[in-house]
Amino acid sequence: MKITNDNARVLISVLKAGVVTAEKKGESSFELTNALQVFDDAARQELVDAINEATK
Amino acid sequence: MRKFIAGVAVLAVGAILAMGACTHREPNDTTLSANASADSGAFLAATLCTQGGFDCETAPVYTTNALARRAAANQLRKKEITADQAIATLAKTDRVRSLLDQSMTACAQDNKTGKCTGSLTKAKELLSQAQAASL
Repeated sequence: MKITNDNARVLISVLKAGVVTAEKKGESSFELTNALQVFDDAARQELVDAINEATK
Repeated sequence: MRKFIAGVAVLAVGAILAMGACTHREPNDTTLSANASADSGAFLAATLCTQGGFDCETAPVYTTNALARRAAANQLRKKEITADQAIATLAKTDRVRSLLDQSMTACAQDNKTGKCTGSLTKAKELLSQAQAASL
């Protein structure tokens, strides 16, 4: 099975978001949806920052 | 003179090490190609979801939404889109996110079985709206 680099990167990013958030809370597991919400929050912030930079 | 040569040698080694550090690049999870959103969400759900919970149905939409935001940020930085277009994308993706969160709340998933203990009908309706809004 071939896995594209982009798909792997997305998977890693989502899992990393879940692990980091769970560890901050002192928990040993996380829900997939929570990881995806953190991933989306980070993406939203990236977009807001880019908009703020462009409209300076 | 010896001290001078030694100093120059230390600086040269430092510069070489610095160059090495700058040119060595680890795989970067922020550099996604433009078509990353096409099937990454489906891949993620297929990889992580084996029990078929409702969150597996929302996962591709959450992923696509996040990737649309990142793509817009990258395009704006490269001046491929205007700030107004980026703001429109922000509003659209916020709407999708809101619907997705409402959908998960409506489902009120059971942690052990992954099945909805709330209204699956309502959750699916909200998910459909989110999918339609993300197109």
